[in-house]
Amino acid sequence: MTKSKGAPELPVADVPAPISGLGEEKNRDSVDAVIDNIVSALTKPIKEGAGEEKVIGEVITVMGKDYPQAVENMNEVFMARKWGDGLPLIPPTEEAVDRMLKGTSRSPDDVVGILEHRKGIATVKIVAVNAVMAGCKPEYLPVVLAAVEAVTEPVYNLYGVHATTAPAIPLLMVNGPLRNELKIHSAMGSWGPGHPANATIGRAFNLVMTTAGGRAETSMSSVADPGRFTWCIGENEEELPPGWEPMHVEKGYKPEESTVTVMNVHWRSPIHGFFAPTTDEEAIEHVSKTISEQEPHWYGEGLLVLLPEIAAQLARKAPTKAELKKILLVSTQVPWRELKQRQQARVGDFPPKGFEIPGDDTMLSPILSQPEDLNIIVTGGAGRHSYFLYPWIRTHTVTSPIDEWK
Amino acid sequence: MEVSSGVRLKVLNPAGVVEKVDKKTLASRPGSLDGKKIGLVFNLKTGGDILLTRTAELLKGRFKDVEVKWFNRACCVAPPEGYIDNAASWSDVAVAAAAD
Repeated sequence: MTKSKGAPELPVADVPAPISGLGEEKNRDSVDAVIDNIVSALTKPIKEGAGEEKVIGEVITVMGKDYPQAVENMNEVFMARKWGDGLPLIPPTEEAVDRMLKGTSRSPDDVVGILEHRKGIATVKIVAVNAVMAGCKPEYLPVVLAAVEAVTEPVYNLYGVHATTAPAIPLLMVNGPLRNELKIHSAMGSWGPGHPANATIGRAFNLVMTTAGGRAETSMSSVADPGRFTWCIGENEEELPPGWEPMHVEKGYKPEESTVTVMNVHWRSPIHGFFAPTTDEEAIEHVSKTISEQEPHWYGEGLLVLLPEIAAQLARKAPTKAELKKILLVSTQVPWRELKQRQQARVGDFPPKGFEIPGDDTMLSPILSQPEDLNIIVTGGAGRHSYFLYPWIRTHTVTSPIDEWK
Repeated sequence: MEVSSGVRLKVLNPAGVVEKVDKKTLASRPGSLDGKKIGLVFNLKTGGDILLTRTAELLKGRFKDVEVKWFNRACCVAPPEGYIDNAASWSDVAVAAAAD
């Protein structure tokens, strides 16, 4: 990361990590062990000349005794450079990339965005190269371009997302007519395998993050997540309860526009209780209980993932998504005293340093700051499962129009 | 990987180039910290304060007339505008704790 800030020689003294779990004595011992390095770094001249990124040419030539061997060798070369996800890559030949670029009317040199921390310049062509590697069809390219554009918005905080120890799973959610045109699956099994558009669009996006974004170098994600291979779904707009708007319409787009919304997910919590006979009041309670048990996320947005029949039941109490959000913002509040005790048992240090709490122990504390911080998506098919996805702590969802990348 | 004759496969670099970043010249080191101001740059992450507090204790023990000042900021996001300049303008040298 110091390379991307123009200071590759900045000295670093490594101590055992993660420091948050070690306790005072061990952390103090860690400093004692490296204090000579710290003093040296602060008082002795620094040697110049380390670690600018070596420039690799645009075209890479790989040999093989036959085509399959050449492809295998290409995959080895790419993985040695951390240009892949571990699954076999489709060779991004000039011809294949030219074919992919027919999926957009934009110039190959148009810049989609600059990706942290590597500061990689994601041009339309670079995204197309990664889309070939992922196995995309050309008509999928605009979705990938829109998703890459979305995460370069400052509120998404790619800077933090690409460095955290958390799972930090990017979820792509597609709305609008392009879902059906491209067969982006939104019904039964929408989170899972078997749908080429979902699988390859999500994969291409993650490959761009890995290659141009340098995520493989900077990410400290302790266990990461399978969703970092691919996670792209459609909203099941056809099964929305009457009065419930699609997610992109809630965010200000017209129904006939197509968009991709990117959220960075920390983890998923199943909502229990729906497998027993459930009254409409109990349905609200089950959802509220799951959300209120989460850690408070005052800096980010949550996502309620509802299967169609659960959405239909909740809609009997909340005729719009907006109404459901207002109900849940209140019903998920936790007494501050209880929240503090719970969080201190979980994370030790709560409230976080520098965080001012207006009020006393008797006040009710929300889990999310405002109704707009709760997103709701209806996806999947028949069944009684639903989930609450809570966000990585300092990121917001971003919705990007796909049509302008066509 | 052994290169052999046969098929030559030409593919494109998926990472592209990076945005040019002006190389920063690191501040010259003072040789000794006697009488120096030491900035402690902290992102409010649990444990970072322990590391920096201990660092300050040890530096005060080794050098004379050392003054320390804390520069705190929210974790997990890029530093706010002016934050680095603010720390740099007060400090002769600075130590940051960056971790989880």
